[in-house]
Amino acid sequence: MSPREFASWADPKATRKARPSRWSNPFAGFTRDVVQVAKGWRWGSRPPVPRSLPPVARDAAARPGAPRRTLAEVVRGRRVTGLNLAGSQSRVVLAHVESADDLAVLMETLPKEWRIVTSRVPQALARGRSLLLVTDFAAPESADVAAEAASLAARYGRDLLPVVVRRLRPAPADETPGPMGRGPKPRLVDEVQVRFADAVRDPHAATAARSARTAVAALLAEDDATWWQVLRGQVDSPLAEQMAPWRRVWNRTAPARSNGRQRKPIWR
Amino acid sequence: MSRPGFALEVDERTPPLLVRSGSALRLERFSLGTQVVYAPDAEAWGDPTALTSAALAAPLAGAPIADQLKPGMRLTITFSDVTVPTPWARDDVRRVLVEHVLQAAATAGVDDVVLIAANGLRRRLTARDQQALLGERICRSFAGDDRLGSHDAADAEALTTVGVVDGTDVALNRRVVESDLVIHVGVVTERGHGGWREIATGLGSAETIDLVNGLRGRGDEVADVVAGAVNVVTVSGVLGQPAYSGALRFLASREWEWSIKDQLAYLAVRRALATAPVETSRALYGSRSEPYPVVAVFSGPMTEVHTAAQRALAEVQTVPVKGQADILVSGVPNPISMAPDADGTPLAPAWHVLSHVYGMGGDTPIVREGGAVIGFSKLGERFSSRHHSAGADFVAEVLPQTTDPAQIAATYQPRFASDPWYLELYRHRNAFHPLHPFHLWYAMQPAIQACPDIVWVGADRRTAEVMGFRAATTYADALEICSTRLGRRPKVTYVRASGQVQVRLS
Repeated sequence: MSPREFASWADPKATRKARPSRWSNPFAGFTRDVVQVAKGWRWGSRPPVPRSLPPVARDAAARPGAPRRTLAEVVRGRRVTGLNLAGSQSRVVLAHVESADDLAVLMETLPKEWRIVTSRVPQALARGRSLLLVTDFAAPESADVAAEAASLAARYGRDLLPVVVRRLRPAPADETPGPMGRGPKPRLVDEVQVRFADAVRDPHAATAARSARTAVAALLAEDDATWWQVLRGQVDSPLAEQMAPWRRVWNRTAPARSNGRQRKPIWR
Repeated sequence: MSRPGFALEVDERTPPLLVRSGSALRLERFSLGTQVVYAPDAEAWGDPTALTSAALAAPLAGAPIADQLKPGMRLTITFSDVTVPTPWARDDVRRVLVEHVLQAAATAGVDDVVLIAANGLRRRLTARDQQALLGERICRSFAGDDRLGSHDAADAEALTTVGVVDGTDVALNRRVVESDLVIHVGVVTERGHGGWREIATGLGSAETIDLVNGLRGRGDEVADVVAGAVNVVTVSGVLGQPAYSGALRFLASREWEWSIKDQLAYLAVRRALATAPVETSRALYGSRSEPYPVVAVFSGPMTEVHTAAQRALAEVQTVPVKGQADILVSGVPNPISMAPDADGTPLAPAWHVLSHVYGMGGDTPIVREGGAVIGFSKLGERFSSRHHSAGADFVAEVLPQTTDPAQIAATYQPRFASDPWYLELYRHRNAFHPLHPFHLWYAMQPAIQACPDIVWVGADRRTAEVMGFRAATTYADALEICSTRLGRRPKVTYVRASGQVQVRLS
């Protein structure tokens, strides 16, 4: 097999200088780009439309970037699971929070259209707005809050949506290989988990309240087990365990398990 | 209802049109009469949870998945890998699909569950890929117990033979073959996605995949063997167009509808990408993910689901175009399915234009035989030592000797396929398998054979020469090159679509 012959200006065997990776002049070609865009769109007047464009009405709701999204974004340091934004019906959101910070995180996580501050709860629900009730499910009075939420949801035919906010869990080490493949970079960042359960749809307030409490218990159980284990009923919820609130926070903020990988200390 | 895709005819009112060239962007004036293929707009959002629940409860044929799950059974859930779709999906629908399947398995009391990515010869998934694809809950539940992983097409111990085609063993992932039930979860965004070939090329041995994607082209026979060997139920989500949002919204907008904000965003992104070092632009631009609308979800037997999903996809993607072109013009987005960085390897952008775009018309190519293809790409050679080691050597060692696929298959393919270093990179370092660049080259051959002139605008001259193509500095120069054979008034079709389209030629 004889090797191919190449054009003299493109011979791959010729010496090749590696181009350094560097920043280019940001102004080179800038004027040309601006002029091209300005000419193309006739700034200051309505841009012309090509004649062959088919006459189809534009649907504003389908415009890319429209605010409706199917699922919440997963943001670094804040992990949101189970949130489903589809459907326009309002909801009664029943949240487990343990502090004002938790509530702030939750308010930031909920979609803007759900964030309504009002003292007229029945009117708001009747107008199709969502309602948020917060409580600490470890406290005895949480039963009353859950019952009230279930009652409102049943009365106005709304979904009851349980959610928990779990704070200050150190995230596991980042598994991105470091430079030259020197293993994962250990990087611990505070992580807040906002876990949404499936909506409870039950016309009977008493059973709906029980279902919501069960859902919250399952979401809390995910602290120390996997979603799959909770689903299979292999773990008990912390709600079933009598424990002082500080101990729950203490346990929850323990460093994440490293799955058997431990960094050897440099200094002893 | 969203606007369907259409073919625009360039007139004097048409502004300069956006062309993507890997990480770079440019505006190009096209000659009067050029047909420009636009993708449909992003559809209104469907509720993936509701669609999935309905699809699982009412399969296209046979019993619902929940009724097929029994305590004590061996269940394997396979899923298409992270290279589909591109650009990568934000909040991937496969997470919802797999969670629903796991919910049904938990309800039925199934304990022995394993999840396997059907990556075939593409790169195996990293922990970050798994997290992006399946979400935190599934990864936490299964990754720690080694019950979530990627298929290894080079691990002889994890493969088992299920038949013979053309004297070659057809081998599949052992766990898949030995399972009582396999549930394959996939997304369909392109013509040909899904079906038994996806199982064969995603979960088969390297030799099996070579039977399908190599020069022998025995895909149908391999698919028949695989269909007879495993009990597979499929859950498929059909996706619409990616809904570019934020600063990159102009990518999916039609140019005459660009607002001042879109024009400024174009200028800012173009200048930023042109100014920053390639590593920076690669990190900024190539790692984006976009939300996709879910058009439909189907469950049931593989063949029925494949047919229904392809029909649903054709309904939302098909664009009528007037006849075959003399010259096909196409840009190259970044990333593309065969490379996380379109500027990193010349094979991937060449494959994108000469196989993917060339085949948008199905059985009838979008450009006539004897026509020309003009692509926009640097054909860059900044190969990732992690992903494309074999591809780099393919371009540096094989193509300078010959571009003939038969010679390449006979002389070089066996050595690459058995090279221990390439296999080590594939198995343990998330690299593409060494056969992957060969299959890309073979997939381009119909276009290369049919079109004598293939010109790349802005490409490295040496790389274009090595690959048997030509390079031009500007689009006008490329047209000049083609005009010597095709005349001064060729019929030009530019595929502007930033999403997926299927072209129906009239």
